[in-house]
Formats: sequence, C-alpha cells, structure tokens
Amino acid sequence: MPASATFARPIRKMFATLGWAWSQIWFQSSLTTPLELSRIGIGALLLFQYGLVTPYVLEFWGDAGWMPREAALGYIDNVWMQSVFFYFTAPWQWLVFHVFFLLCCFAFMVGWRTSWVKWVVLAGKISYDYRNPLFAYGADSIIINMLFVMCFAPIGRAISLDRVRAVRAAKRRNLEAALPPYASPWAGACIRLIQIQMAVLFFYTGVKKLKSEEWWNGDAIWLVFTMNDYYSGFLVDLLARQYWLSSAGTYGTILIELAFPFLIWQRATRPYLLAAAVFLHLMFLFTMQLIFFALAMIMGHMSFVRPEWLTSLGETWKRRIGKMEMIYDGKCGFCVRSMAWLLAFDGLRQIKIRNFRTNPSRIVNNARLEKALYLVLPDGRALPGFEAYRYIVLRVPGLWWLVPYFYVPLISRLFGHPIYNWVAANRTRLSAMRMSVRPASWRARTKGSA
Amino acid sequence: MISRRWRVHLMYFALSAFLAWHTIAMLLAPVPNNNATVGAFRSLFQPYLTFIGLDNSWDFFSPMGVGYQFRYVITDAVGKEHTFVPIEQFAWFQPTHRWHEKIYDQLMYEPDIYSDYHATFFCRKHADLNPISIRLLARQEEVYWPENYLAGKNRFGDDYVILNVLKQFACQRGGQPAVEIRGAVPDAPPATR
Repeated sequence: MPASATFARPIRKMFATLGWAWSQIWFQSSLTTPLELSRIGIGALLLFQYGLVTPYVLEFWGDAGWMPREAALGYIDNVWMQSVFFYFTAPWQWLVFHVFFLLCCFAFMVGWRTSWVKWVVLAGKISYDYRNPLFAYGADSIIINMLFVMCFAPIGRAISLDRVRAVRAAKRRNLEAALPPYASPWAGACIRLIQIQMAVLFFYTGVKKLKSEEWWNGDAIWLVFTMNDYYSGFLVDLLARQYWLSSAGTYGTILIELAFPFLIWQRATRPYLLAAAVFLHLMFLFTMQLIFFALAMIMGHMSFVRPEWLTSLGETWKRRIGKMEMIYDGKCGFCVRSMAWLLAFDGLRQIKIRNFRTNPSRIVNNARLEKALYLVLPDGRALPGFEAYRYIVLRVPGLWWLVPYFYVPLISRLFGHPIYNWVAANRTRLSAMRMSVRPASWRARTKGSA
Repeated sequence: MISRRWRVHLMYFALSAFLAWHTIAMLLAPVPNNNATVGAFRSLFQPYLTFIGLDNSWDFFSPMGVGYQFRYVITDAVGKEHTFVPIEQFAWFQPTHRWHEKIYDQLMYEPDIYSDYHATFFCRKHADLNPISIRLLARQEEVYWPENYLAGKNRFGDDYVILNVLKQFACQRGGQPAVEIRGAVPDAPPATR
C-alpha cells in the first residue's frame, strides 16, 4: 500500500467522524414546536409592551421627545446602528410605523404570513432600540437574538394560522386528508442556536456575579429587596428575621446559572435544569416584578422543551377528552367548507368525521342530520348544532380562541344560538351563494372541464 | 448547471458556515475587550454584533450598585413646596413603568443633557400650581442591613438615603422652556416626605 494511502485513510476517517459529530450537533431533524412557543410568547410580549406605550411614541422615540435625534445620534458610534426612525420627518410617520409594527407583532404571535412578518418585527424592534438606546437592556437583546434566529428558521409551520391555512387547503380537496407535522434539520439547527444563546447567557451571568462581593457574601438577595425599585415590605421583614433565606437565594441563583450551561444538554438532567431556570425567572417576575425580562427569558427556555414532551402532552390531552365524531352533510358545500375550517384548527386531530350521506350513523338518524350536524361523544351522547360546537371549542386547544363566543352567557344566547340556527336553516342557499360569487373565468373553466 | 448532489453539499457548507459564525459571535459578545487577541476577533465581528443587537455583556445584577430614585420639588407662587415622585404614577405591571424608570435613571445620570426637557415638561404639567421654580433631585439609597430593620429603623429614613440636587430651574409663564438657575446649589429638602 502506498504511504500516501496509509496517511489518507485515517485523515479521511477523522474528517468523516468530525462531519458526523457536526451533523449530530446541528442538523438533527426536529419539529418546529419549541420555536413556535417562543414565537407566540415573544409576539405577545412585544404586542403588550409596545401596544401599551402607544400614547408615548412621540415622547419616547420622536424628534420632539425627551431624546431628540441629535442626542440619540450621540450614542451612535458606527454605521451599523440603524433605525428607521432616523429617516422619518413628520410625526404621522412615527404613528403609522408604530401601528404597522403592532399589527405585525399580532400577526407574528398568531403565525399569519410569518415568513415575512418576522422580518418586520425584527427590523422594528432594532429600530426602536437604536432610536433610543437608553431604553434597551438585557431583555431587549435576548428578544432580538431570538427574533434574528427565527427570521432564518422555518417558523409558522405549527401552532399558527399559516398551518391552519395549509391544512385547510388540503382538507378542501379531501376532508380526510392529513398534513404531516413539519420537521427539518434546519429547524433543529435554529433551535440549537437559541439553546446555545441561552447557555452562553447563563454562563456569563453566573461568572460575572462571582466577581461581585455581594454575591460572594450571600447578601445579594437582601440588597435587591431593600432597593426602592424592588422593595417589598413582606420580604424585607422575612429576610431580616431569617437571613439564611437571603444567602440560600443568592447562592442558589449562582448555582442554577452556572449549572445550566453544562447540565441542560443531558437528557436526564434537562427537565430539572429547565424547571429550575423557569422557577428562577418566575421568582424574578413575582417578587421583583420584572415582567418583560422574566417572560423574555422563559421564552428563551422554551427552546429546550423537547418536541416529544409536547407530543406526549397532546396525546394525554387527547386521551383524557376521548374520541369525538362529527357527523356532517357531505352534499352541502357550505357544510364541507365549514368542516375544512374547523378541522384545520384541530391540530391534535381529536375530531373524527362522518359524512352521513355515504356513511350513515347508527346513533343519529338521517332525518335529524338533515337539520343540523351532530357530535357523537365517547359515551354515546349526541349533541346537535350549536351544542356540538360549544362542546368542542372547550376541548380542542386550537379552538380556544372561540370560547368567549360560546360561553359568555349573553353573547352565546343572544347571538350564538340564533346565528347558528339561521346558518343551519339556510345552508343550501349559502352553498349556492358561494358558487355564484366565484369569478366568471373560474365558472367558465369549471363548465369547460365538465 | 450544478448537480443536485453538489447543490446539497454547497447548501450544507453555507448553513454550517453561518452556524459557526453566529455561534462564535454569541460566545465573543460578552467577553471583556481588554485582551488584544479578543479585541482583534471582536473587531471582525463588531459590525455583525452591532447590526443585530447581539452586543451585550449579560451582566445582570452584577455588580448590584446602589439604588436611586428621581423626584422633583415645585415651589409655587406663595413659596410652598410640592414634592413629586413621578415613577409612582405608573403601576409596576405597566410597560410604561419600565420605560420611565430608564428615563429617570438617565436623567439622574446625565442631568446636563436631559434636565432641560424634563424641567420644562414638569413645569407645564403643574401649571395649575402656578410654579415659580423646580428642583430636580436624586434620592440615593445607602446600604441598609437586617440589624437596622430589626432595630426599627426606616429603610427610607434620613439615615439611609441622601438627597442630591441635580439642577434647579425657573419655570416660565405660558409654557415657555424653563431656565436653569445657575450658581449656589440649593439645600435639599428632607429625604422623607
């Protein structure tokens, strides 16, 4: 064997091993659900934050506010600190952008047109932070980092309106169709990036605390609660009488922050470290009232939630609720389209369907089904029309947003029942109406193909 | 035309390069810049770190520092003083609380830059008091220990806080900008209201 081949083989083997390890670290196929949870949380947080400061937009970020453009530019030390607000000239431009940003935050939260909305949210957040750099602190950086990764990630593929639209499109062709959950190696890589970010953050936070005397001495927790910003009469009284609690809290915080970056990766220790980190930030939320910071960190922790935990949670929920069968009229176009909508929100696939025209039910006779759809429950009960919807909106997580319409007494009695009954009585007419509003070109095409 | 196999390889390489680059940036961002090697690396990554807002040292609550609270005193036409603590107007759960905390922190930190705007703003806000002058104050909190608490001392009593006068302004009629009163720094009022 030539000498070159003798050397080449182990080198090639080494590279192959490195490549395999690299792929194992980064490119393991994963569902996007951890990213989607972060997306929903961050969208809600930004919407809440920036929505409630709407009356202060011009005061906080405007040229006539407390931070004039010249003052803001004093903090800008390079061309990379960009903000769209530097290009605005009239107050209405600030307001229009702010409203647009809020709409995008809402769309981001519900996962509507996520593929481009996420870029607007990122650009908007960076713009707010650089227009008034004094406002931004750690929590804003965490949010921006996660948004940045999400911009490259395939988000909006689960727990989103984009997913609903995709499933609905498939169901419109065939109600029985099932769209498999989206998973990809790139989703896994993006989740890994956020995980590394969180681990790095914890590591540096813990290490830097060790440099401070108050953390070494175990006094930090006491000092925090005696500061005016976080003052709590109850906690000061408790800690003064039981000072060991302050030391335990101080050292416990450092322990969690230093253990997190090392033990969060192992399958066996992850649940404990994740629970400890979430607990730590819930403490920040409830005792120090750091809402924005605590929730931003918890959204970052979501990246460590294993998709299989969520899947198993969904399965448990599904088992607990039991099977539900919806019986509908397959001859009524409106009913089929409504079913496609409804089933698109049923991400856990809890609802089974039956077209009584082709597959009659033994529990509900056809005469009753001519009048309304029915929901058959595991115990054999059959709920008609409005009652059927009322039952499922509480039990299908994707439909929880409809709960107020079906359960707020006045709304459901005054509007829910009458609207449902009217739609049920006029469903044939509604189906025909839908056909008649289709564009002429479509009708011509349909006729031609027929 | 690049073959499908090579396109996959190329994509894999590009994505791997991005992941490696971003990971190094994340690791590098909080490292202190006083080391020459780190500094050299940082200068390479700095535009990226700045542009995407990743430039953060992640030093939450370290060091703890001392607490400050902003307040102001308006002197009305009959010489009566009215003390206000503006942050108390905002409930802790409102997002505006956080933003205003930052604003007042910065005002206390750099009064030369931000006090003109705020003095005018507060004079206008309290126009019904017929204000003559306004004093902007920073209440600095001293360390307070459990033994002080158990001895019955008030955390925000005069022993544990110091009031510093940042600036004094004369309020103008008709909402005109307040004019700074230079010279002798006036006495601070009692720390506790």
